[in-house]
Amino acid sequence: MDSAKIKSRLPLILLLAFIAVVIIFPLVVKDRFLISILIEAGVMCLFALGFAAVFRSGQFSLGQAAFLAVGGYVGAIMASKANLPFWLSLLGGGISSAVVAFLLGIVILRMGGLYFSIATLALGEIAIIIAKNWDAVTSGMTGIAVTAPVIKMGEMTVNFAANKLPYYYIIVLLVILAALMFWRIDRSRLGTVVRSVAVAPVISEHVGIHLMKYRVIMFTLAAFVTGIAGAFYVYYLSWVGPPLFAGAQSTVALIMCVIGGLWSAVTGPIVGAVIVTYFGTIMQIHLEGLRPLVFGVLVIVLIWFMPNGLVELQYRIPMWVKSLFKKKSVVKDGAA
Amino acid sequence: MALLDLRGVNKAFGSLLALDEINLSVDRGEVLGIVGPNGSGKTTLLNVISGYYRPSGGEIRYKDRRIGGLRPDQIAGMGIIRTFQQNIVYWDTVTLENVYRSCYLSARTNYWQSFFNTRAWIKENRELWGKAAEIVNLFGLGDFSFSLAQGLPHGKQRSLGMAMALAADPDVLLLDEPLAGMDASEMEVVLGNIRKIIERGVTIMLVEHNIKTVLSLCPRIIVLNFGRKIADGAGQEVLKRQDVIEAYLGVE
Repeated sequence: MDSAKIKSRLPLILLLAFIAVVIIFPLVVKDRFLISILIEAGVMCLFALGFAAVFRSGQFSLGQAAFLAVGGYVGAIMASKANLPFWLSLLGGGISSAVVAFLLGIVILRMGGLYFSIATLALGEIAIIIAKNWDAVTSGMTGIAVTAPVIKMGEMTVNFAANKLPYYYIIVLLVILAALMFWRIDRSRLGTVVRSVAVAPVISEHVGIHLMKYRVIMFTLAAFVTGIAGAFYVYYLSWVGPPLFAGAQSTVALIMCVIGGLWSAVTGPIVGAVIVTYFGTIMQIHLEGLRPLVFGVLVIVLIWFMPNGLVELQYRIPMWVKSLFKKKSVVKDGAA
Repeated sequence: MALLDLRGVNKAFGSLLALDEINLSVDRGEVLGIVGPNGSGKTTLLNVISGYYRPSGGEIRYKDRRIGGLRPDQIAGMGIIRTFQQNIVYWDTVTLENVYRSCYLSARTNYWQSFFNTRAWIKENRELWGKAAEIVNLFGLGDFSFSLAQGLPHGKQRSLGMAMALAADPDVLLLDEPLAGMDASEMEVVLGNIRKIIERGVTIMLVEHNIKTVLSLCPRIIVLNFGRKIADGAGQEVLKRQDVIEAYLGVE
């Protein structure tokens, strides 16, 4: 293989290396606290990916937590009341969330833009109110307890209650699958069309693109992934209740995407979700009540210096390195 | 049988009648000029035909089907494409991709094939980029293929708008003031572009303030005033009529 070929495959090699590190990580670092943060970060990755997918179609959803809630409750009910297996409950959470998004999307996406944002904001609040008050199904503030799954694969039995590692690997797998899906969508024809719809809806419409169709597709896909995240989260915490899905969660998805980079479909949300979850938890421990303030200031500073988010670093770092070398060569010329 | 047929088309905004009982039929391959003073309803007429506005009354038939009230994308899918008075482009990308995205209707493979990057899609995708490049070159935008569309000078953006419309394979092309705000040399270029589209056998409805241009391109002209069609016929003759002159220049 010549060097050009290696260079073109560099991103793939780096990606595989990164995945390998993620897989080996918990076997080397036996810090249970860190692992639990990473599992939460994984849930947030799916959550942020969903927000980014809706954003890609030009819409600003401020109620993504509602879909986390739908997935969470449906998953919990399927697991605790119907005793369905783990995988089926995850899928159930995703599908129910997608169905809700599809039906709502047909109505509220018609408004589009700011009106859509406000409608989704209300949606997030309505979801909480339903969760608090529909006692027969959600058990109100008491919530529903979910027992940790036990998966039997032939001779091997994986008991999720004993160890958090199985959760870690499952969420890693889910994030990889979701990232792969959204990455392929972004690179395929669907992504091109969705971008057209977002950037210039009026032209798109007049070259034959049905705007609503693509907005609904992205909204539904996002809800599917978010619903799975919700169901997983509930399993991981062994409990589901209204506080998990407070409306503020939806804003968290937005902040993650802004910090990571709103203009990238996959890397931005993932980087943002991991960083926000990690530093958010650390700050929670050390700063307690001051956290929102410090956090807010940090976000503002970051947006000031890197409006395109942390993914910008991939272009900035090479530039910094190059400028360092250039300065040296200038000095040399001067000496000569 | 006319290609496009309007019967008693109305468009009201509240109590304002922007289009008042418009009857008009356009044959295949015709190049029709639409003139009239500001606010006479020229753009509204294009908006109603292209589906951007829903007509308040009357009937619009195209290829013998009723299209009044259909969505813009449905109408575009049937072959009626329009350009805009303002320069609207896909600001996030380069000229060539602007045209590529406008080839939406030409794609035959489905999203799954593209998602899994199948051979059929790769082949078709190459053809789509080829088509986009051909149209970009046809309109003399080849040198700007990889410049951001948003940064192009006004005249080039107008050409790009037309290129994007042509990429959607129009049978009928509605051009909304393609020469607005241009200097003489830019106008020459755009006129050339319009002639190239005419050569392809596309039916054209041209809204334009520049009477000279309309006369040089359009054998037939209609004149609108306060939402009414006040004249319809061969260019020179229409413009000699007393009521047309009054509408444009006022009464002494």
